[in-house]
Amino acid sequence: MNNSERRLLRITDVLIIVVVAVVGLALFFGGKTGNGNPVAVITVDGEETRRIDLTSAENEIITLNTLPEVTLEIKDSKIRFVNSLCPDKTCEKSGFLSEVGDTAACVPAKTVVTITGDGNSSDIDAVAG
Amino acid sequence: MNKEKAKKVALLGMFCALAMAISFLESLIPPLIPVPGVKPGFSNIVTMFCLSSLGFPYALAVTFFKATFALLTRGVTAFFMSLCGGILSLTVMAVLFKISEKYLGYMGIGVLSAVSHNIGQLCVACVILGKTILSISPILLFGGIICGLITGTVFRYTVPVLNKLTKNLPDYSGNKGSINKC
Repeated sequence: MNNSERRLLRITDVLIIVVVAVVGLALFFGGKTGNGNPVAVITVDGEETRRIDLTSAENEIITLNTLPEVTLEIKDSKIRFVNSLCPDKTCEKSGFLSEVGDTAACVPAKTVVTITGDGNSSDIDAVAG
Repeated sequence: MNKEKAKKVALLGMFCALAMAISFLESLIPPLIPVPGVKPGFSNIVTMFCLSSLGFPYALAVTFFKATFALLTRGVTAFFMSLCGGILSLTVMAVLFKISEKYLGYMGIGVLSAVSHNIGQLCVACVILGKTILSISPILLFGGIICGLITGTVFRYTVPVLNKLTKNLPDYSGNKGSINKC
């Protein structure tokens, strides 16, 4: 196989990179269209188990009845995994989630926390992304 | 003929070891992607090397090896993520390598294979965790671009060295350095 003639970058490559970046941006801003107050949605095994309005939420520790057990902390309108029962601590490294579109997951417990907008805010106009 | 095969198997072993080492080093980087098991996939470059020097079946073997390594170190979900991402990425890579070098460079191949690697992993994550996890797809696409640019560039500058290596492997028969044999 002769690959030594191939260049590093051609016009097609630039196009590919641009297209992927545009799709990425579209998905990014598409995910942000849920305007309004941030709401944390907790799903376990694909099923929504809890929905918490972060702006009005009290500081709280939530323990989910999953295997392994997952613990979430709500503090100053932000939410994070504080679970320490699973072997890899990737979910904890995600840190606090507060912006619409933020997502963290714990694969062993099949738990996903994602922030969406509640769509009820009156002071922000919806702008199609 | 047999010598040729022995060489290839030896190289395959080397590629597997290299993939394992890169996967390990990668695990030391703090995760940019907040989902366990979804990795930037720098070990893709080994699959690329293997595909260009030994061919598709050998690259498939490396992909299975990587998945097995993931199974042993990080469990069943990591195995499926690695396998799914790996096979999708390899297929895309193999198709792109067929495209004439007049039209496509290494960066495009690197980016598309890295992105397809991430898409494969995301599909498995979606099956396990439900569709809310799809909200991480923009991070995966941008991660794929960055990772692909790096692997494409590294590949471009290391493949001549690698080609030299695969052509100059010592022969057991004694006719060392048969450069134009391959």
